[in-house]
Amino acid sequence: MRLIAGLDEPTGGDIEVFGKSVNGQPPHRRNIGLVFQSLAIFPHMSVHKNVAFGLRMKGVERRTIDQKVEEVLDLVHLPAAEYGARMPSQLSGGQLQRVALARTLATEPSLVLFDEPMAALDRRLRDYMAVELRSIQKSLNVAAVYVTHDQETASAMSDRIVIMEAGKVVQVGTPEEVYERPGNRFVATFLGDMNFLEAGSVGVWSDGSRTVHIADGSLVVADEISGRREGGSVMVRPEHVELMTLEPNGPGLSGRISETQFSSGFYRSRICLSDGQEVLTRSTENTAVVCGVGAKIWLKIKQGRARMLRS
Amino acid sequence: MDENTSIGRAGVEATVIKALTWFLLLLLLLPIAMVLAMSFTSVTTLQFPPPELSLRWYADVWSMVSDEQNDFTRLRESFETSFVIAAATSLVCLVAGVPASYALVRFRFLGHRVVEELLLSVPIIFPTVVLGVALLVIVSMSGLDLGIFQIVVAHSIIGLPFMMRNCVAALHGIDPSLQEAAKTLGASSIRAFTEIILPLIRGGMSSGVLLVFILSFNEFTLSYFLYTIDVFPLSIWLFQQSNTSFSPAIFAVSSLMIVINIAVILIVDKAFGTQKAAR
Repeated sequence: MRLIAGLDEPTGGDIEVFGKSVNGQPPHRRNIGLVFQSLAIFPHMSVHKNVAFGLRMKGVERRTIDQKVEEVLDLVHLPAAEYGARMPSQLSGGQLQRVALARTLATEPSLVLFDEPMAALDRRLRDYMAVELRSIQKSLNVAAVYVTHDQETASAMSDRIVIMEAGKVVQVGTPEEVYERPGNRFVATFLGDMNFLEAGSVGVWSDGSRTVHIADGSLVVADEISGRREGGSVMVRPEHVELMTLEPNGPGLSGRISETQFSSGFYRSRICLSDGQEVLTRSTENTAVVCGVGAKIWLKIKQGRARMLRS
Repeated sequence: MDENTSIGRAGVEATVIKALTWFLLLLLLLPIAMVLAMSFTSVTTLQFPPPELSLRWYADVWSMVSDEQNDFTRLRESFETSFVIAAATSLVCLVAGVPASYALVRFRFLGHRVVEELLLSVPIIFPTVVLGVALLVIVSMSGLDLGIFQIVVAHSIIGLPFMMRNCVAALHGIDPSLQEAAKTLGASSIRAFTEIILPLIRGGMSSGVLLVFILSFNEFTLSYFLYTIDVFPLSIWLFQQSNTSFSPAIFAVSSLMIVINIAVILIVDKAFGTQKAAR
């Protein structure tokens, strides 16, 4: 982020923005906006002056500045008439957030960078701001790079997610792609709960789908399994496991309910398979509660939702 | 029994501490109070307490200051000299101290800790008499007549650490991302400094200037080594007068100096409270 903005110099390699190398260009010539984690609102300037700062630095005429400031403040729902004269110390966290955004957008940057600016907000406000930020970004049609550790913000806001682990890119794709088809264990667990089941052996059914034997049952995985006949891990998201009181037709697993829990609209249960492996499930159905802890239950994986872990 | 003893001991301790505090306060304030009291005396002799109160010595000082013909006492000239020296010293310390403090806080160069310690403490613990002798030697060896500036330079040496202490403290309180934000918004490094850093350390700079001004205005030791007939600070004038003609007028002048000092402190404190300066 700091490298893209020009605040730090890369020790090697090249940074291209829209196909043009920006190496060696000082930050104030790049026209790249950056919304800081700390927001970095100038404490000695009013809201209006904060937002006007970038335009003033570019030598824009006063009348045009006032107009533009009013425009962007409207965009972030902080009407200039009410908030323009306020000092940063008189604003709430969410409002400061909006000022930071307005200040960055005022200069019409070709690219906007967000360095986890919502990390300090409480969850509800963060979700709300995420939606709003996304709609503003879409309406202005400006390219944006958003860095976050919060996978929900990431999924909710982006067209494309780049997942990095220890400084290296591990997967790139749409939010659905990386959620449904994570490339490795890190990506899978980063984006939410994931069951990893150790497979016994792999068989091939007549219709060409792949069946994996786990404990005393089996399930069908969506991927091609080339050259591997035994072992490996299968990934299933908890919401893709269906609980059934009767043995299903076709492939399925069975186990005993070891724990159930209700929270925010979902029943979460933990099922212990015959070989001791545990499966987390998440469902709007109260099947597990009705059966009770200790009862035997069958698991069916929704079609195409189980995948082999490649590495 | 034990409890009683400990309470008794605590009571004794509190009494002793109270007595010591009052004693020290008295020790600090008594000479000043005496100077103030003596300045209102009605007689030419140094009697304490003054037999009668009057403003005759203030009138005397006023005539010394306002009378253009009165070359001999040179009070007005001395006052102006001290004022110019203090103002110039403040300016020098401000211009040198702010960038130096900024460099110390923002840049991590080799040995910056040592430089910081040296700059901030050595001029304070270094004996001014020694510094005075050294400067006198340098001035006389070089044969340069820098006029008023030789005292300005001397005062700047002892004033700079006071300036820098305040600026460094103020700079430490500033989030470095503010400057970076300014840069990404199109400000060059220099503009980011003048638009963001300078306004935010205004409090530190003002209290630094205040301290240096008062320090220089009252300074005696270095001035004593470096004054000349043409550059004759107020502190030297007072010293000279007290040695030659010990008239109560010098108490009036001293009282006025105290009033000036207090006024400067009050004005600056009012404008940029200590809270703001610390930020």
